[in-house]
Amino acid sequence: MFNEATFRRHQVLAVLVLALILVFIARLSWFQITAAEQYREEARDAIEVTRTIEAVRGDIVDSEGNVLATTIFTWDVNIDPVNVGPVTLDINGRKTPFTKEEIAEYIAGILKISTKSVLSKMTGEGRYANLKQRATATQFTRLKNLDIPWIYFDRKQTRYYPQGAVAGNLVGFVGTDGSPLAGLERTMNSCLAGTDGKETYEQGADLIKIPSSIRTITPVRDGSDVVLSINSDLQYAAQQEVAATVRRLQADWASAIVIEAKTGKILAAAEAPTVDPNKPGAVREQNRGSRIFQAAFEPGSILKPVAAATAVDTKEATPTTQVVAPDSLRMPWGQYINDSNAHPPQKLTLAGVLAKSSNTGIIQIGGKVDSATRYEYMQKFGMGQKTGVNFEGESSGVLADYKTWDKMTDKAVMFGQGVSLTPIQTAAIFQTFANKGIRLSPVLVSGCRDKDGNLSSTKVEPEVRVLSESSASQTIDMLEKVVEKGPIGRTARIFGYRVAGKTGTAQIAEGKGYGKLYAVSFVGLAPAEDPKYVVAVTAYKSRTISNSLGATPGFVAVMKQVLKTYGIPPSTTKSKNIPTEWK
Amino acid sequence: MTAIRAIQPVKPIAPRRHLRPVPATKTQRTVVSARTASREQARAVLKSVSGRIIVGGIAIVVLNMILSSLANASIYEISQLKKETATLGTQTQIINQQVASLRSPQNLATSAKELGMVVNSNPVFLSVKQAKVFGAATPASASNSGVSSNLIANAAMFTTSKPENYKASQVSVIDVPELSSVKADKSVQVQVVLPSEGIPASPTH
Repeated sequence: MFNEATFRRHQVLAVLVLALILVFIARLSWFQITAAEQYREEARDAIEVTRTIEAVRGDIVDSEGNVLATTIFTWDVNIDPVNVGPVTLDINGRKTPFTKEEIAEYIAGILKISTKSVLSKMTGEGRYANLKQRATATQFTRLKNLDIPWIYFDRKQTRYYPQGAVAGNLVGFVGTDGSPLAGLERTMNSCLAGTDGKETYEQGADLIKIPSSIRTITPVRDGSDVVLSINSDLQYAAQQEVAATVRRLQADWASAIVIEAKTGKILAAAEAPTVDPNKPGAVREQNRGSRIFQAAFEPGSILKPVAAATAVDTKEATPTTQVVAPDSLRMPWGQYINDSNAHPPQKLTLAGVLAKSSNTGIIQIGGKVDSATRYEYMQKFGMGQKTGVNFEGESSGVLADYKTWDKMTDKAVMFGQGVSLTPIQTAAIFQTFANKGIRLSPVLVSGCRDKDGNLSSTKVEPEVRVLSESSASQTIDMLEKVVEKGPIGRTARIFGYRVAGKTGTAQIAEGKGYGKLYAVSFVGLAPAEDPKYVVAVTAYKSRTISNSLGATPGFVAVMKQVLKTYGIPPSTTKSKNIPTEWK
Repeated sequence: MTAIRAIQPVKPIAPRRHLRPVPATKTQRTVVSARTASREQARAVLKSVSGRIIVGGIAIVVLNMILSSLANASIYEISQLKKETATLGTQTQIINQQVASLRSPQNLATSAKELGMVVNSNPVFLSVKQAKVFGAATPASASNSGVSSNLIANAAMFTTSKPENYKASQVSVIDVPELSSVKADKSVQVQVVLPSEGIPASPTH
């Protein structure tokens, strides 16, 4: 039964196994604990890879969520010249051999480059030659499917603007290296740009990533989205109009702004010519920015309502205040102030002065207010200061201190000379009238929205009470007469709606005097009984029409589109019966 | 006799043992059986431990091989799936860009013009709330429809609509049921929400 020898053998075996286990444990401990770090380092060097995970730049979207700028991938197509040779491709299930020349022609066709260029890069002893930068996804897919061993690809992020030049003046663009160069791409870069991440992982000899080995060193954080206040459909319609205006007037440029009166939101800021951010090099450098915010010029008669409103608000005048307005008025110091056309003396009310856009009339009534007060009002209207829209390169315009005004400038500022404004500043003045005398900081960027949908609203400047509600209302009443009775203003009528507005035909400073070309404009609001929208249209250096008749068709078209877009019903009331003349 | 016997060499004779089996006492039996049993138990334990170690070792090796092959298969599967995801992502991008091109205002304006559509610049508004019609209906005309041709550049527009495919003569007519055969679906409650002011505008672009 009991076998001593067997027992002893088992004992020996057990001891040996235990000893072996102990040896293994010892050795394992050596590997895992004592020399672990050293071996880990050696292993890491051999198989561990560190990779930067590129953060995806955020989108720029309009108020309706339509994408104006986004990020896509493109591919740099490279070849390994030293390994270039004939290839056999699977064409419709058949193995077909291609010579080097044939495959070069095929690749050239896909990439839309010359065969000669491909062939020249295929020759040589180097290991790298770039065939094309930023090949499209379609081109990449077609080439990749060929499975040519000596072609390889580098994927890159590329900015893509699906609506092209729609809002291109606002969105801006990035350089070929992805760096923001202009517009909101640059000013909102802190919102749009994310933070690159970093991870390490181990890979096998066949370059396969081992999932369990992934270690995140820095988590990637994609960029947030910039939400604009503009409506891209409206923006397109407005851009169409200003592009047509530039053609019709052979003007240097034209712009159209749409502002929501009660919020200050910019719904459209269109200009022509403008940049297609997909191809910024296609237009001249001066057309790649936004003149709406960056170009300041003397606005002309558009500023007469400011002088009129100031007079009304300071109780120096009412809409029916009477004046005799000749076509030329001699100033006490000998200089003359003229109207744009010759006419016999007109007996006008203040409303009539605006309707007829009389220079001589406005300086008589507006001049009842002292210079310091007028200057104070002009400041409150936002002249000489940035609007707070925070657009890169925004001009603050020019409003010299009233103490530096000479006698002529003191009068000229009342009809829009001796002071420079950007189109957005001009539009903001009319927004003030439309918003019961309160000027709001224009809003172009609603905010920055993170990937969880949380919107950080843009900080806006505090509102400014410029006029009393009554003065603003009276000013609008007068501006309605411009559209009802003004010789040019009446071309801004919109059937069914009460419209208030003002024409502007401004001389453009050249050297020490003024040139022969004009900046023509019309700024208006509707519906006048409860103003909701302000539209400002300007054409700079019109060569076919030298007065606001060049701007009113654009105003009417854009305002109609606005009223239609937002479903504003036609007016059901009539304007106030304010006389424009007296006997 | 005694002396003679005393001097005679005596061949030493080993005392003869008369061993005979005797019944073991109880204590002896217990000691022997306990010792034997413990050795057997130890042997059994050893056998068991050795067996388990060997079986365990083999199991570990086999398990390791299975897990390793499974893990390897998973790694390759993951890698393959990632490649497929990338390919699908590229295809999605191509399709998204095509959609973006087709829905761009430039393409829509051009297509609309080719189809002979014009903008009605004098729309009529209906107020359900007030039961009123605002505006005077006038037919849209090409001469009064503003800018019709697209003037806005878009270098990203690489796919365009083919309006000729949608002309009336080429669109197949869909059978429309007779009015009498159409019954109102009461389960669907359409609720028109009017804004506090204004009139709802068409959501179409």
